Amino acid sequence: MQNKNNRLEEPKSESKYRAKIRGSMQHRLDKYRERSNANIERGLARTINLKDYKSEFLSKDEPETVGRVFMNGLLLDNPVLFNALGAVLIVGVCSTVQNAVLLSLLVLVLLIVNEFMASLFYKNAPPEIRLMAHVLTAALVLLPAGAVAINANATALNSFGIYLPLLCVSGLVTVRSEVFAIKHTLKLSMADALGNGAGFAWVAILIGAARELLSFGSVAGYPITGKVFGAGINYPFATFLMIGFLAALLKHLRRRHYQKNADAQTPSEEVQSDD
Amino acid sequence: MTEIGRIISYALVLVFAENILFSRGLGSDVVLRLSVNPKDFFRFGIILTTATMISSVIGWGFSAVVSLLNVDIANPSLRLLLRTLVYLICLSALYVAFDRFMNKHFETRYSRFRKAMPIAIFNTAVLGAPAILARMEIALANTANLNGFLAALFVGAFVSIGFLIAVALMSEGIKQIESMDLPYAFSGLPARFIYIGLLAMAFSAISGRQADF
Repeated sequence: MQNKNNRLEEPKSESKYRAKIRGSMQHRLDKYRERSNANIERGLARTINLKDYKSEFLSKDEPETVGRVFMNGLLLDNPVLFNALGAVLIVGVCSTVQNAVLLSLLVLVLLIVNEFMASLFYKNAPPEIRLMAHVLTAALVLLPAGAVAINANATALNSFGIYLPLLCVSGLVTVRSEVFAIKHTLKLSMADALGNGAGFAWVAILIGAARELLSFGSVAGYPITGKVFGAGINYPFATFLMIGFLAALLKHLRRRHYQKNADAQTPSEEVQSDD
Repeated sequence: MTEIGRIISYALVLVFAENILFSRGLGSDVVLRLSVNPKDFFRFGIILTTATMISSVIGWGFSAVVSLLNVDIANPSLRLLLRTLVYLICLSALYVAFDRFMNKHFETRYSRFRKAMPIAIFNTAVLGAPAILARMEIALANTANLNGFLAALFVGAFVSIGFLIAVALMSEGIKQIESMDLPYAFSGLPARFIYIGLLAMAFSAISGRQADF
């Protein structure tokens, strides 16, 4: 039987053999819990097959600096292309550059506020409640932010449809707050929020520009060519395919970047002549 | 018989043509990150599907209460945001009550699901189901004679079935992808994105849409 602290209860009198069995069971229970928590920290679902690029390219001793955290969010560990966070928003909303820019600004505001709150106030909350807290914080921030955005451009924001309220349950905001901000200082959390916001923004604007160009022959409202592919390119399948190929390209470039750095750091062997 | 035919056609539309994952991308942020372990998929998929169905019914109840209060806000997006905020507060309160109840009375069994519950409840698929119901309510009432609670249950059930089918297809596909010898750049998430794109293309063909290339 387990007591309130999830430890196996010690009976009042037991043999050495039983004590040994109980000890090994406790050890197994602790290891299981540790593994479960590690899986949760890796991304809230058991993403066994999504390898963390840091384990592949970086050594464990490298310290996390503001610049590194920002670059991770922007490029090296892009939330959309390497972690599938926020893809639903790009699929549903980013059919034009204008929509993409507006969405990116809203996401940035939500990320900054959520990671701020998570880093300062939510560290000691139970894990089951924390995600709910992130969602409610995002919803409370989205209401005034959405009102300001509606005042600025009501037509664009109305075209978001059902995807506007989904910003608060989007994985980008909740997962970054839970996986990063909870475990790091305020400075690093703000760098992470800015990095991930910028990383989301460039992907969203690129996809929005491509979709607008292919559907309407224009970019940001300026006509470039005539109508090319028609409205078919605005379906979700086209966006998923675009994101997939963009992710492959960035993954290839990232590997080349780290291989070049690794080659530059290894000293070349000089052949010494015997003359 | 005409009504039964319409109900069946609406059900097929909700499961295939307007599939919540492939036609709107809802829930893709969770599904793309799913593990291919069959136990995880089964548990998580069932919880997610049940949460989607219940959310649709709760959304209907919530809409009925809001319409009684007669809150008048001109801009539809602002109205939607305000309703979402209040809806999330209600959903959070229900989740906390459910969590406390299950942890107190069924701790051993519930501990297997407990860690997956927050992700399964607070995601885009669960929040999107009431929105889909809101869009289909009038059509269901006029043509298939389904209104109120029945319409909510109908939409919730078939949206969830469609989502479960989508999750099953994704899980099987991801398993195959992980065992393939792909080029490094395409291994992992890029292959999953391309796979979900191809499935979405197939489902959009089922709906009879044609791209005017």
